[in-house]
Amino acid sequence: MKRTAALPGLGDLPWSSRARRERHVHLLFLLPALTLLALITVYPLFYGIVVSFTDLQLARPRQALSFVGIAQYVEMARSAQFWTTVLNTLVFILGAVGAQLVLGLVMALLLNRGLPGFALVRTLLLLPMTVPTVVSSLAWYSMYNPTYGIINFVLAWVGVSGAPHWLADPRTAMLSVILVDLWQWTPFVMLLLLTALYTMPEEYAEAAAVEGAGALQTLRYVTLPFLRPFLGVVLLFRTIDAFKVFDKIYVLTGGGPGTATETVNFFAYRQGFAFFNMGYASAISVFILTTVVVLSAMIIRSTQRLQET
Amino acid sequence: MRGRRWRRSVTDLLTWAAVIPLLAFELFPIYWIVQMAFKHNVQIYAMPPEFVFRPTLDNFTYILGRTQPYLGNLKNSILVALGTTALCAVVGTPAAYALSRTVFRSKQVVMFSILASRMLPPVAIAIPLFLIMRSLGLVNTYAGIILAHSTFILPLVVWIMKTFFDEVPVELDEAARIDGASAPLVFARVALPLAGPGLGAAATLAVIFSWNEFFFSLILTGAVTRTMPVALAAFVGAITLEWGRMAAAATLAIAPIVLFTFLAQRILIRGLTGGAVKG
Repeated sequence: MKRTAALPGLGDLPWSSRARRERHVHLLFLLPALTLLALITVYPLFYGIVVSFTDLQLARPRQALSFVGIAQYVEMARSAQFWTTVLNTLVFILGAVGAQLVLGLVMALLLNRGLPGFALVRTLLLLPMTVPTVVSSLAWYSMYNPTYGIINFVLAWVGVSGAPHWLADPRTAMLSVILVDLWQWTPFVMLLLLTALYTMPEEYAEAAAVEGAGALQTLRYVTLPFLRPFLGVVLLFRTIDAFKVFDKIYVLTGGGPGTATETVNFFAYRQGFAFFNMGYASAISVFILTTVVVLSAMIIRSTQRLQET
Repeated sequence: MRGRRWRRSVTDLLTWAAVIPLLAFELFPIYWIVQMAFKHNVQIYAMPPEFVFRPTLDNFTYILGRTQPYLGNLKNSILVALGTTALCAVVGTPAAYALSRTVFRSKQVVMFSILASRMLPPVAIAIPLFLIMRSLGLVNTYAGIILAHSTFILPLVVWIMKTFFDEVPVELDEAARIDGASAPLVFARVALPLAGPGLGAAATLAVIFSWNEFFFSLILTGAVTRTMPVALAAFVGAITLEWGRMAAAATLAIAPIVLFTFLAQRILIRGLTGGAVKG
């Protein structure tokens, strides 16, 4: 009955006192989350940028931050090892993500046939992603073992002699790490593309069939063009994740042999927590951060385009 | 007619013939480490590998023994996963509600920050976070690692809860408001119960992500707070790798995840893409 005092509906207009009160309440609801994120994410990010302009070393006793300008960035740009790790990262991303896209697409097209039993297959395919990466890396570590591992046993059994020491040989180490990433994340590509395929209007394929297109032509001219924006999203997600690879390199190779599998992310970690050069490690992380921010801007633009369609 | 049906069942057969090897490839490493947990060293080193063998529980008895740290690691993993989930649910749910109900155009901002936090390289946060936590005495404490896990789990919980609140009709809120309920009461009594299943899904995902997290845990935990993934990774550094014991510890780390994967399968793809794609 109180509402009769005001004109009906007016209470909901943005300039009314009720809407303003509502907004205050909403702000209160938001406050704890915003404060927490500011403290644990935003502040550390800025602090990290500050540290990258100092020569902070953990090995020395407590010290005030002494600024060295862009010296850490100069050292980074001059370091041959840094560029090696950048190159390793590129090789890892191109190898792993490229193979995942191809194999994931094939799996999605297969599972899109929706035969009975495929729902269970899809659920089981979640496991490589949800099992802790440390555990699956340990599983692969045992499989790669040159003496007792199942991989070289099977190779010998089918008649391949002189199989390599997968993780210890600089020629095969990166390939072995890429294979584990391929194993872990192909189901992700598959699931995303499968979700996309479910939304494809049936008329598309029907129209192609009426026109007399074969299965391959339908794939080439109908399905793939439809999937293109989704493939873009998957590509960017996987690229950024591959950029951040850490767990499997830590377990499988520790960046070795030599620097054969050391990615830029792992390089930053080692500078910080093996050599305690926090200033230098921060400069490398800022480089990684900047790269990822640029990639993220691209992903956000492409997902927005996706949601508009 | 019969020809077409025959062709169809041949294609079905061919599809399965392609799916089965792929499925085997994706499941084999998990199967392999689990079966290893039930073998003695002699059986593990046997060439050719034994696919049929007498299982033993010795590795588990050893790993769970009083002299070993793994029971403590498991306890730490559980505490950290539950602590992170509780913190993120308590802080994140009201925030998600406000974002779902607010009149401003917050959608783009939220979407940006959620995706940004999904994309953020952990190393860029971990180094300064470690320095800050060291000066506050938070390294090697449960609070420290729970806060570190919240950096990526809180945005995820907010996003997922927001999508669930979006599905609760605003009219229900308004009806309660007309009856004189205050905004917090409407949230607690009307919206929250209806978004309950969402909270379950978000919590399941939060537990999985925290349980599996390795990088922050490696840097921020110590002897007292070490979680299972960090303890597992240490097996590789040992002089002689005890495969069976390692596999037993790994199996203990997998077991709850398998259960939770089946529970959370529908929300998983949404969680893995930071909400960018609906599963």
